[in-house]
Amino acid sequence: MSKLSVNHLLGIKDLSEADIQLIFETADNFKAIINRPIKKVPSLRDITVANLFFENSTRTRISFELAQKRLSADIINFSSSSSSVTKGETLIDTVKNILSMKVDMVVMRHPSPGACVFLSKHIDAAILNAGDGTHEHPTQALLDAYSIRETYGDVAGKKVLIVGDILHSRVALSNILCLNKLGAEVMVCGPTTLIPKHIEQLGVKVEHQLEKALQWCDVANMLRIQMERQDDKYFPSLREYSLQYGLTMDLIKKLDKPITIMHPGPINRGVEITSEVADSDLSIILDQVENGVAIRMACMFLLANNITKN
Amino acid sequence: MQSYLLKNITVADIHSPFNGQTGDLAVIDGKISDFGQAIDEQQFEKVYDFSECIITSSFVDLRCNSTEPGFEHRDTFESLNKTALAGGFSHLCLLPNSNPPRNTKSDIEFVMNQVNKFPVRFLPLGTITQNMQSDDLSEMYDMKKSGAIAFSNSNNPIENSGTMSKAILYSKNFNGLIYSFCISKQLSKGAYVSEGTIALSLGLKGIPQHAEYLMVQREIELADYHQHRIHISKISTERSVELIRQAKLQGIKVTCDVAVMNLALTDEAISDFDSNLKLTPPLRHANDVRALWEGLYDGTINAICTDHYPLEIEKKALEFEYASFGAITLQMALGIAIEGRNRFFPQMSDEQLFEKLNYNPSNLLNIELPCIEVNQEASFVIINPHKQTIIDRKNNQSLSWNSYYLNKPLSYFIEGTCIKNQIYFNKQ
Repeated sequence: MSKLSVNHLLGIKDLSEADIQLIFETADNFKAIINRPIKKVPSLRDITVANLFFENSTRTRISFELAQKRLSADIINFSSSSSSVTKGETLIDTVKNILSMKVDMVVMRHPSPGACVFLSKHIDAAILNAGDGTHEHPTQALLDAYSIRETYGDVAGKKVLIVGDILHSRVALSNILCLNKLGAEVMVCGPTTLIPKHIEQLGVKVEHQLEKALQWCDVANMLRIQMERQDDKYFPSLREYSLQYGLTMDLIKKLDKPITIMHPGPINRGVEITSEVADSDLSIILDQVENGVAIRMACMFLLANNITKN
Repeated sequence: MQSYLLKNITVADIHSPFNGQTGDLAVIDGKISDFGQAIDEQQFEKVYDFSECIITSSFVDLRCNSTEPGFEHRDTFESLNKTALAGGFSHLCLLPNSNPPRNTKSDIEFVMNQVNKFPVRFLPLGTITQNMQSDDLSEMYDMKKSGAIAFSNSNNPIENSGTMSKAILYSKNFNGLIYSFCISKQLSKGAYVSEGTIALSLGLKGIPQHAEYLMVQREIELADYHQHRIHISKISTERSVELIRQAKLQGIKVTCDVAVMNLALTDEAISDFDSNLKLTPPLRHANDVRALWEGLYDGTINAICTDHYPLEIEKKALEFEYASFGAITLQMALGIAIEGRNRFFPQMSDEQLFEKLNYNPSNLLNIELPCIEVNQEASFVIINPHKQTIIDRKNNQSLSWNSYYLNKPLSYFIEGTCIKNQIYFNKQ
C-alpha cells in the first residue's frame, strides 16, 4: 500500500507531488463512498482524533468532523476562541492534557503561524494542520486543486488566478505551493497593499487589474477579505475594494471564454463576489465543500496508516 | 609571588610585537614578564603546554542584556561572570534593561557594588530616557559620574526623532556615548522575521530593511548636525552598512556594531519556526550577512557584540509569535563568529576577527585593553583552533539555555581565559 512521505500534514511545502496524487486517488475512493446510500466505512476504527480549534471555524470544523465520522473514528472536540496562552496555559500543556487521554491524531486550527510545526516537535500524535494563522491551510489547498482536477481532468497547465487579500491568507499560500507542485500556472491579483513584496519569488505572476487577470485565467479563486487578521487598514473601504476587485457578471460577460469560479468560503456576497456569479453555473463553490470531506477523509486515512500502535 | 608559564603558544594579536610568533609566555604577579624560546620552567609555580593553541587579548562585549535586578532566574552577575570567562570575555557592557531599568545614579552604583568581587569587569549602561520608554531624558550626567559607560534604551528603539536629537545634543556636554538601536516600530508592527521569501513561506509578517536603515540615516544626520558621536548598535542590513560607510568617509562621528548571530545565520535557518532564532534585529538574507562581514573587514563596522539575552524556557517554548526575542551567545560568541567567518568571509584572518572582539570595542569605549606584551597586565584568551566547542546543558555557564547552538559543534575551543593571576579553564 502506498504511504505518505510525512507523518504529519503541517503544510503543502512538506508534501511531494506523489503525496498529493496519492491523496487525490484516495479521495476519489472516498468521494464514491460518501455518495453511496451507506456512507460510513470502518477505516479509522480505534483511532481517536482530537479536533482542537483555537480559532473560530464553522465549515472546516464541520467538514473534518463529518470526515472523521464517515471513517468511524472516535472524536473529541475542543474549541476556544482565544489562544491558550492568553488563558495562562501553554499550547503544549493544553494539548498534552488532551493527549494523555490516548489520542492518536490531532486536527488543529490556531491563530499563530507555525503552531502546528511547533506542536509536532513536542508531542507524539499525528498532526493535521487545519489552518495556522497566515501560514498554511493544506487541506483547503488540496480540496481546491482536487476540484480543479475534477473540473478539467488535470491541474497541470491550468491557469489559476487567486484574487484578494494575499498578504493575510493562508489559503493563498497553500494554494500557490500546491498548484505549483502540480504544474499549474498561478497569478495573484489584489490591491498593492495586500500583495506581499516578494511573492513573485514563489513562482507566481502578479496583476493588479482584475479584468486583465480574468482574461488570463481558466479558474478564478476569489478570497474573502480577512478583516480579523489585518492589523492595519490596507484599503479605504470595502466599497472601494469591491469596486476594483469584486467579481461581477458584467466582468465575466466581457471575457471571451468561460472560466471556473471558486471560493474557499465563507462568501461575503456583494464584496468579493456578487450573488449572481456565486450562484451561476460557472461556480463550483459547493463542489469544493463536498470535495473537502473526501480530501479530509483521505488525509486522515493516510496519516493513520503511518501511525504505529503499540 | 604567583607565576606560571604557558609553553609553545602562538600569539594571534595584531597589536602585539610577538604577533605570529610561537614561544613560551611567562606571567608573574599578574603581568606578562617574558616571551621567548625555552624559558626555564623551574622558576614557575605552574607550567602549561599549549602546543597548537593561540593567544589573543581578552574580549570586550559592547552589549549584554541585564538580568539583575529583576531577572535573576535568567542569569546573575555571578553566572554572567562565569559565562563571560568561558567565552573569553574580560569586559562586559550591561544594557540598562534590568527590572527596574537603570535610570539613576543609585541604579548604576548598585551594579558597581555588586560586581567588585568578580574578575570580569562589568560596565553598566544607563537608560537614555526614563524606563527606556518615555521621551523624558534620564540623568545621564549623574549616571556617567557614577560609572555608566554609555547610554541605551536597550531593545526599545527611540522612534521620536526629537527625543533622539535632544539625547545626542545633551550628552555632548559630558561626552556621553549614546547607543541607538534602529528598528522602526511603526514599520515593523506585528513582524518577527526579516521580510523576504522565507517570511512569506512561513506566513510571518516580515520586518522590512528600511525599518532599520531609515533610522540609521536619521542617526547619521543627527550626529552630523550636532557634531557629536553616536553608536548604532546591532545593524543588520546591507544598506545600513553602506550608509555608515559613507558617513564615516564624510567624517561624521558614527560607530556601529553587529550582533554575532547576524554574522553566522540567515533567515533560512528559521524555516522550522525555531523560536531560539527569534531575534531582534532578525536574521537577514545572505547578501546582508556578506555585507556585514565586508563592513567589519573594511572598518565600517567597529565591533562584534554578543547581545547575550538569557530567557527562561517559558518565554521560548511557545508558538513563534508568542515567544520572546533573544538568545544566549556570550559563551559561544567566538565559535559563532568563526562559523560565520568560515561560511561568509573566509578571507578574514583570526587576528583580524579577534580585533573586532577585543581592541575595537575597547577603543570605542575608551578603555585600555592590555595586549600580549612584556610588562602588560595578563588579560588574554587561550584558544585551540583544532578543537571544537559543544555547549550543552552541563557545561553551559548561563542559567538559561535559549540557544540554537546548544549541543551543536562550533569551531575553535577556548581553553581558558586569563585575568591577572588566574587562568579560568574551560572543561568539556
